[in-house]
Amino acid sequence: MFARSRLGMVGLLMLLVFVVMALTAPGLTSAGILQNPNRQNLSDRFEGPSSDYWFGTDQLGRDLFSRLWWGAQASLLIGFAATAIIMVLGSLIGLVSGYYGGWIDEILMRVTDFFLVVPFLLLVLILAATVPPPGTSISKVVLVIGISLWAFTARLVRSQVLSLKERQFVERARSAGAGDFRIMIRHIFPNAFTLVFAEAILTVAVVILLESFLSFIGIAPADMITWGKTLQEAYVWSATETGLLVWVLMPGLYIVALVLGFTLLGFALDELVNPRLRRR
Amino acid sequence: MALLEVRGLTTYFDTMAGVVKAVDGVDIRLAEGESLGIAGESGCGKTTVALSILRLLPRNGRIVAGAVRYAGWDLATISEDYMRGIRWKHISIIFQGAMNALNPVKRVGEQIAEPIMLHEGLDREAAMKRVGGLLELVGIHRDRGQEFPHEFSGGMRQRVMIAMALACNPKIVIADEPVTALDVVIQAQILDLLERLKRELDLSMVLISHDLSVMAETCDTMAIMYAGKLVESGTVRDIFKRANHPYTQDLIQAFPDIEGSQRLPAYIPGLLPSLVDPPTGCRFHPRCKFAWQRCIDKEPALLPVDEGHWSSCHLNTPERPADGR
Repeated sequence: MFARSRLGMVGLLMLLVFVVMALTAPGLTSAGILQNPNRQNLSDRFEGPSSDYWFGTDQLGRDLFSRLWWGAQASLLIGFAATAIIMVLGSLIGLVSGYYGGWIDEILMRVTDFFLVVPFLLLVLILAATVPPPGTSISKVVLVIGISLWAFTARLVRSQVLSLKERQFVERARSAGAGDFRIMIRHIFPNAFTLVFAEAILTVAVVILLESFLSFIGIAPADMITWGKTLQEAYVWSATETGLLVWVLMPGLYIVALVLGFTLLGFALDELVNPRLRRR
Repeated sequence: MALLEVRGLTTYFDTMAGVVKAVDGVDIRLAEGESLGIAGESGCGKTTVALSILRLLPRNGRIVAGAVRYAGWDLATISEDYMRGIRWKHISIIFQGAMNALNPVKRVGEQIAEPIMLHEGLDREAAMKRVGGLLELVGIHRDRGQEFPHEFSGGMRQRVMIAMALACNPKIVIADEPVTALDVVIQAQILDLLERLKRELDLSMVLISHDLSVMAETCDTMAIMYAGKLVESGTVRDIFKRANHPYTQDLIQAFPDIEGSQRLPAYIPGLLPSLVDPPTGCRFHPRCKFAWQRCIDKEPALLPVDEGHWSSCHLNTPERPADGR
């Protein structure tokens, strides 16, 4: 059934390309096939594409092709890690909120509303400035993105739980002696899981876009190469005005391609598992 | 000696429209090894009685008064911890509508194993071993425990529910509409199965249904409910041959008789009254063709009309005026 969704397959293929890039980056570099992305070569600064440097070089004479190849690591790592946080936090809060209802639901949903209505960028900036320790590490970026995006998932899971908890098998499980925790984790959540999974794939896309954006405005892991950082450097050094179009274009294309890959895959999955979108 | 005795059970639901008096002073006795049928129209409180006995009422439901005597305990008042020990090991329930009572994403075997693991503290492996035997007991091949509910037909799912109810060797099984959604052939199979299991496993059974023919076939005694009240109880023979209460008579009239004359089944005019604001006096009086002033003014008591045969109707009290008003 999934194979019939051609766009989903295209998305999956695009993702595979980036996963291969992320996995092979260290190996190819040590084998000498890929240039060291951090090696500075001050005599080759601001070069256009050539046979030595396929995508040209940046302000420090670093090979852009290699830097972008390595950049897949940061995007995928942050994408998956932050999504994991979002899904765990969102599912947990959605489950508890929908299952217990009453004042627990009220409190949790008001907190969720807060995270939904505060402008996204403001939230991320405040979090980035306040979450200890100072300075930006990869775990901090993951945490900041995770905390600012869980609310959507919580809403989604809650709505599912509201309907699932009224199903008769829940009553049966309770009469069989299952406690609240067991009912939530073993009976209700597995029924909502497919939807959460599809949501997760779409969330990865959002996270990667957000990560690139954060990198661009300076909230980037200091010890990693990211596409957002490359874009920002191109912007600072006026790459468009000096004719170094590749410097701007390629990181942008990489970001778009990866996000598009996840989105296509996510839509295909969503169509499979979300009854409202399922085609007859 | 009654195995299970319900006395004056009164269960209310708090709803937006007001307090629904779903069950109002119901008395039921179940003797050891006996099958008791509870019959009545939809919404008369049959299921609420079952859920009250097991204390499985939804959050807005509460037992207001009455006692549920079982083995020296009053199930209406013992702590939830004790109640958990009673459920499944002593009294279990086959839920209404097996189609929905199985979790669609869990293997059938695992679901049968759940009460065994939770109530007897067995590990998964030991529980699964017993599941095979239980499936065979209800006529399903043991390997099918590996399958998911959607791979079973309606009748098979009902068998699974029965296997689940028997998982912890209960003494009493409450079957809530066990055959309602099934076709007649499968109905007969399931009823045969229930009867066989009852005999082999020495069970006592409470069968809840709106289908009197099901009752006639399987039950020893019957209780007829109307609008949250018990209107008549007695042996199956009492109910079918010597029905006393007008409602019972109408209910029996409403079933086609294959042996008797060809006639259209009668129906009872009117609807079940609102249980938020039930009629005064006898709750059946607005629909009763024999109703007279006293039925509107005074609630009839459940009185014996014969040995073990009880009915609550003013027609049984002698001072009825001659003109019928």
